[in-house]
Formats: sequence, structure tokens, C-alpha cells
Amino acid sequence: MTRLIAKWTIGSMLIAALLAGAYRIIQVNQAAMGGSGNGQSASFYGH
Amino acid sequence: MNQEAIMTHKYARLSLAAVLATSLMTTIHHYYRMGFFTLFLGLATIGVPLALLLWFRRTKSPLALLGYGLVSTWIIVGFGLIDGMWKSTLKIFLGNFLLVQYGQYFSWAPIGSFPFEATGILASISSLFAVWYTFRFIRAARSETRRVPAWAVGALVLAAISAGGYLVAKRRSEAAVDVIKIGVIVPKQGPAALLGSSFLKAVELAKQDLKGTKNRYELVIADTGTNAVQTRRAIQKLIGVDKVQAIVGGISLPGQVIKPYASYAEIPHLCVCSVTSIGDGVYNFTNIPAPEDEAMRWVEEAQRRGIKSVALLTEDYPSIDGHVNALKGELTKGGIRITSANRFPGSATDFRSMIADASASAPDVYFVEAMPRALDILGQQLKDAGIRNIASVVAPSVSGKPELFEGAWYTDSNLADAGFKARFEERYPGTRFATHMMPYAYDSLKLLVDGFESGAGVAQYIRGKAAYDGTAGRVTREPGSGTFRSRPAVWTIKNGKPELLTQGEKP
Repeated sequence: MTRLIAKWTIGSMLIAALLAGAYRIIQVNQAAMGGSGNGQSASFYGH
Repeated sequence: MNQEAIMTHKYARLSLAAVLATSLMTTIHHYYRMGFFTLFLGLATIGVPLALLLWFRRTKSPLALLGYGLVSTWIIVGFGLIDGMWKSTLKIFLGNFLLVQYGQYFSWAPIGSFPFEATGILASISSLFAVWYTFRFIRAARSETRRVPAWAVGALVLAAISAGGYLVAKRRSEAAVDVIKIGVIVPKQGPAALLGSSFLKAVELAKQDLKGTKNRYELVIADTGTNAVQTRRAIQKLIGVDKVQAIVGGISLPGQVIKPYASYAEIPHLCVCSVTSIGDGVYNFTNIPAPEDEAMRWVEEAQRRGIKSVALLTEDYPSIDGHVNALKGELTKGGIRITSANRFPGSATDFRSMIADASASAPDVYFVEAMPRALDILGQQLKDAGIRNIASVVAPSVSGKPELFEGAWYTDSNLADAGFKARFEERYPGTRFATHMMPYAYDSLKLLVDGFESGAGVAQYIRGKAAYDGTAGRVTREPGSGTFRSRPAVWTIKNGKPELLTQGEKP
């Protein structure tokens, strides 16, 4: 039972981390494309 | 219930749970693209495996097991692995993050909203469980059922061959085109927008000047945007959606992003840009005077004017750094001393301390080069400081306020065909003729069209082209090199406009 709970806990945390990472990448991408995200984008022209 | 039946039952439940989880996630995922019609997809991907498994449980029919295996494979591969894993998970984490420089090898689908991509990621995770449990279930269940009839296997093979044949025929009919599309990708916004707009007009003029070609040509215009993410999206659409067969581009930084995509798609990319590492001599070629050509010409002119010392005020930008590095080498050879060297970021707005530093070193001439935004601020502050002895490579030609550089001399594209500028201004009276790049933009399109007309393969044609005479005079290329080289001319700003001082002699 304990093993099962540990497995589910680790699995859920991994999935949550994956989704959080995806959220951040999407946010940065949207900012770079001029959308609504608030991430940073590196301009070719330095500003 | 014996041990085998218990295992079959256990894996059947786990397999069904994982397959249905994949179906549910993929249904929500597709809702963001298909809307209401996703309901039918959801009914099919959830209802069919459920019905087949219930049928198998009641009858132990081999057909029910085969059907469940096929439907599960369709859901796992089609929606879990291709849609979820390839088009969401790997696209986001590898194609747009960890391996972004190899983005051409991953899905080119644009990144969607978070719920869209998150359900794709979840579908890919559940599909991995589905692969494992469905495999275990089918292996366990086979011992409980009869063999699949031969006619069912035959029908399946026939269906697979028919579907494969249909897809190949469809792809071939799509590939057969009657018009050759050439992508033109330049900045339409940001500091280089003036160059981009003028560049587009030069390419359009070249297309209008085409006479009696065997093929029909269509230009597909794209905006590089102002950062690598926007350029990547634009080139993915140009190649992946618009299906262009060649590319003419301008500006070095977007050119560096475009290069791997042109190589991947095996289509020629002529970049009117000075970072020569973009040209690989296979699919990518640069077509504008190389930094060494500009530097040699600049030093020749400086020596002719009796210049003995120079102060450098330049922006930190790849093509400008290329010019400055080449210039430093030629200045040493030519015996011209550098009295001070200041390099600034594109975001700089206050140059007064740099100007004071340069002025204190009492140079014969101030070498100034920057992208338009910083250039115009620098030009104004140089003017305010009473400095008029300015020289450059290209920069005054791309300035939004060339009058700030009245009397400055600089090297830039050679307009061997004087009529080209006149025709441009007559055809596009509202567009400023930015001398830099325009002749090469015009010639690059002509070169690609000549390649298509040759019938020998456009990339092959360009690889074999060692020289041509275009609007910028004689352009040459060493065998195997990716750099078309030409000799620039010397220009000045007179009455707020560029004026040709000395034409680049033919090498």
C-alpha cells in the first residue's frame, strides 16, 4: 500500500513538473510572438 | 477463475483505463482545434474500445480481441504518440526549448494555448501506459481465445495496402505543382523595417522584369519579425505550409535561423547578408560584399584621402562586428592607427561619454556603424558635438535620418546598373531606395529563376555558378564556397541623400 502511494505521489509530481515546465515555455513563446505571455524574449536588435 | 484468467482480467482493466484516459485527453486536446465535431471523435475513441472489450469479455471472440488491439493501436499511435508525444511533448521540450537550434528536426506545428498543449502531453503520458498494458493484456488473452481466422488477416492486409497506396498517390498529386513558389523573408517591423520594405520591392521588380520564362513564379512574402522565435515560426510556415522551393532572405541574424531549415528542406537559400558563415556552399549562399571586401575598399578610400587615424564607434551586432574585425585587419596593413574603439549595445541611447572619449583621441575620421535606431541617436549626438568627419560601412544608407550624416563617406553596394535605381524609384515612388542590399536582392531572385529555368536543379545550378554580371556589377564565387563576393563602391551623403562617389572597379 505504501509503495503504491509513493508511486502515485512521485508520478503525480513528475507530471506536475512537466506541465509547469510546458506552461513556462508556452508563456515565453507567446511573449516572443507578441502575445499575452509575460516571459522574456531576446530581440535581434538588443531591445 | 484460473491464474491466466485473473491476469487477463487485470491487464484488460488497466489497458482499458489507459486507452480511455488517452482518448479523453485527445478529445479535449482536439476540441481546441475542431470544436463541436470533437464530440464524434470522443464517442468513437471512448465507445469503440469499450464495446470491443465487453464483447471479448462475453464471448472470448478472437475478432473482438483483434478489433480491440487495432483500435487501441490507432488511439495509442495516432493520438498518443504522434499527436501527443511528437506534436506536443517533444515539440515543446525539445523543438522549442532544449534543442531549439535543431528545431527543424521536430514538429513545426505552432505552439498552442496551455490547455491544448497540456492535454497533448497528458495524452502522450497515458499512451505510454496504454502501450504496456495493452501488450500485456493481448499476450495474456491470446491463451484464452482461438486463432484469428485467415480471412480476417487477409482483409486487414488488403486494407493496409489500399490505405498506403491512397496516401502515396495523394502526396504525389500534392507535390505536382504548376507554379514555382519562392519565399522572400525579411524584417517588416523593427529597426530593419526600412531595409525590409525596400528589399521586397527590389525582389518584386525583379519578378516583374522576368520575360519569357518556361515556368510560372509566385513570391510568398514572410516577415522575419524581430526575434528568433518569430523568424523560426515564419520559416516553418514558409517551407512547411506554403511549400516554397527556394528562399531569398536579408539580414544576418534571421539568416542564421533560416539556414538549418533550408538545409533540412534541401532548398536553396540566398541570404543578402554579410555573415559569411551562413553560406555553406550547399544550400545556403550569401550574396553581398563580404566584410573583407568592404574593409579593403574602405582602407583604399581612407588612404586616398590621406587619413592616418580613426576612432571606432560601433554597435555590438554580428554583421557590424564582422565589418569591424575585417576593418581592423586592413587598417593595420594600411598603416592607419585606431585611436579609440567603443562598442555599444543596440539599446544604448546616450553616446556622449563615448563621443568625448573618441574626440579626446583626435582621430582624422570617426568610423560609425550601428543599426538604424541607435545609429540615428548617435548621429544626432555627433552632430550636437560638432563632429562632421564621419565615415562608415553601409550605415548612412540604412539610416532613417541620412541628413544627420551630411558629408559622411562610406562603402556600400555598387550600383553598376545606374538605371536600376531609376527604374525602382519610377515604379515605387513612395518607397525609399535603400542602396544597401537592393541590387543583391534583385540579382538573387534572378539567379534563382535562372536556376529553375535551367532544368538542372536550382541548388545544383547555384552551386555551379562561379560568377555573374548583375545590377551590382561583377559578382564572383570560389568553387565550393557559400559566399558570392563583389567589390563595393564609395558613397557620400549629399543634400540628405546617398550619392555615388566612386564606382567599384571590376576585379
